[in-house]
Amino acid sequence: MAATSITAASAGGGGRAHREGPGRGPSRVGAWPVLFIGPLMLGVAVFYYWPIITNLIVSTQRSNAFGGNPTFVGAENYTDLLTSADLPSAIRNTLIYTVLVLLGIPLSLAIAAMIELPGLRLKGLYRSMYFMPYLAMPMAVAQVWKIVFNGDFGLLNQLLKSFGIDSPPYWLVTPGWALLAVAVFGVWASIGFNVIILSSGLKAIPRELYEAASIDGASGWRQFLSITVPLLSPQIFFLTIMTTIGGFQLFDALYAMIGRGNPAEPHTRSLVALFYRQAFQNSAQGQGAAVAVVILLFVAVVTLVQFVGQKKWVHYV
Amino acid sequence: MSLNRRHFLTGTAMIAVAATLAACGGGSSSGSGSGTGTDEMITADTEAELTLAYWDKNQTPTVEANIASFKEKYPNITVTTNLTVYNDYWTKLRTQAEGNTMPDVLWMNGPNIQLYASNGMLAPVDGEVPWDSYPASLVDLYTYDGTHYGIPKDYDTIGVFYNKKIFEAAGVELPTAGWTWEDFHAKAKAISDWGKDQGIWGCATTVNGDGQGTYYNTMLQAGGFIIKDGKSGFDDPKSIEGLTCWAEWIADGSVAPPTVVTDTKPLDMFNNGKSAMFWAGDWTCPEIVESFSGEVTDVDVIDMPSKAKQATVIHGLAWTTSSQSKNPAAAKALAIHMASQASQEVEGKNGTAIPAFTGTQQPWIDAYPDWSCQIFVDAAEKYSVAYPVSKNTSVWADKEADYLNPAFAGETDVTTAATELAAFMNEALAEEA
Repeated sequence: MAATSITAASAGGGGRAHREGPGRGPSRVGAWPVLFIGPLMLGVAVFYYWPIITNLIVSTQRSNAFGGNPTFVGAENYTDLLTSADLPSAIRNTLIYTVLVLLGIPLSLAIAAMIELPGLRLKGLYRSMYFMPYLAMPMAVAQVWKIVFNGDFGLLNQLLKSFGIDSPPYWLVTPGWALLAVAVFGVWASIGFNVIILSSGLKAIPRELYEAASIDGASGWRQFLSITVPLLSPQIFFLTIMTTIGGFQLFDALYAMIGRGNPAEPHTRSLVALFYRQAFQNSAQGQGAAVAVVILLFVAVVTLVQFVGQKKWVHYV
Repeated sequence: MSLNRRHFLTGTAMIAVAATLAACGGGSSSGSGSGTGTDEMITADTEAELTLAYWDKNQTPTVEANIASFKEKYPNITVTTNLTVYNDYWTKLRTQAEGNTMPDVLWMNGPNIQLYASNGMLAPVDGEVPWDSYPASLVDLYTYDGTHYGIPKDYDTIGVFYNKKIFEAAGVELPTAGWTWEDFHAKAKAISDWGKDQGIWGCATTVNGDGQGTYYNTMLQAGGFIIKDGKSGFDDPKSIEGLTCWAEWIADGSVAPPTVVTDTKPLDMFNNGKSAMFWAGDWTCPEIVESFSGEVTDVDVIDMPSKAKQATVIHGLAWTTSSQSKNPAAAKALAIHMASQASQEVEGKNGTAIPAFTGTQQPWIDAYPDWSCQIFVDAAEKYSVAYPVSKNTSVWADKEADYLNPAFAGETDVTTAATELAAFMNEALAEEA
């Protein structure tokens, strides 16, 4: 859809240029776009690219705790980082978390497919019900989940006990379970957004395709796999990218639900948590900046791989 | 303790030298002979604008009252207060320090003092301050490289809060003064054994990485140390004894393990009758008064049990001034005023923290008439040891939990964990130098 409007706009501009005579068009338009886009570009440069460049510079420096007396140390921050035990565990935790939250997409797809079933009443109500949690403040909701997961009196364990499970784990403080518990929260928090995106995609799929398929004798499941999923692939792809990037940036849920002194903390510490620890707790800003660069590269590479991979499975109508 | 005294004496000696040098520098000493040193530099007509930063909103009435009395002396100095919650305070202050916009006068704590002092963010306190009137270990805490950077404002020491009703119900005798680790262990074990079915612990306390409330004290009580002469004390055999006790107490169920006290705060457990004993600082008093589920008279507090000796870490806040201040003289005058005897008397009466100035503690003790709060003050005066800090404390202090949680939970060997922690800490300390 976006592509269409761009085409329309340029066609309009081209039309006017045509009246002025071929060849002179671009120079007539010349300065105006720069004037309009200029301020925005300046903002982007100052607030997006300058920090990235500064971060790159800081990552090659060692300074005092307040960024004073920076001295160039080359790749030392990176080699320190690569030889420390903290980085592999942070990468591992981040990847595990990201994979777990990606499982939220099939779940959201199932929910969206059910909401958009033809003939279902109160669709609007269901849509808002699933979207509502997305509006809640994550830090506040995380506190509620902390109570749900509490080992002694949490809702979850009370439920498990009533099913006869005598000693359910202390979810948020046991290494191994804690990351899973945080991921459950992550999935829960992302479902609202996912469902809305997938629902809108579902509505765009022509009904005739399903009618034709059922005349040919395809089962509901077969229709779902052969019509719904392929035609939703642009939305699924978009959500995969967004969820992956979000997963790599895991921090606030850990900050709110795990916290310092938690026995599970070293087993859940993500890349961003490592960045925070180095830059803000240990006063090692160069190290922190190096972690940030690692995160940037990670996100860039994985997103690139996803974009290359999409050619195989994403179908644009 | 002797070590602290020595440091303290060196500190004062250097201050004396510095003061003499400053006097030679030609500053006039006319007029108010016994007044504060900076009075000489500013007068009642001095005009200045100051900002003052702190983090505890419970103390706003005290801060405001003391600023008001400062303004009586210097009507042309305006003071703007900045209140920031504790967790954001340090992030904000770090940003301000980098941006050269630090508040003129500010609260400082032990773990951060050397970081700020060694990086030149704080101005030395070179005015005339009655240092003998503050606990020596606290003065020591705010002395870096022989120079005073902060004036103690309040302090906290550790004691054991206990719930008399649980002791009675379990048929265990109440703790008595002069009790030992063995006594503590026997009582905690008896109560845990009795209360297991009701989810009641003999003791639940902050074993999950809070040295100040727990293992720092036992390390000292066993005769060990946490940091000395830039070296970690975690691998000292006596310190290890002070760590092993927690692992042993947790192993036989007398003390709640790190997992339990991370999931539910020990303070909440104590307030709701889920633990009979709770090792905590005096700052806990107002919170227990407010939230304890029974009668306040069911609770009392006693010295921590002793091993080789009695010991408690002492920590307290200090008033400091920024080196970036545009009105350094006025800022120093304000800091000295905020930490003065008169200001700390106001602090004590308001009951939020134990004022540091000797002789101003009684009103604070009187604020909790049902409890033996005198022990906190006695501990500070008789056997307190300065809270362990280095130039960049948080680097190793934040790592303690990583090593000690598994050791206390019985998953790793205490001696190995302590040795590894000491190695990490020594490396971090070497990097500071």
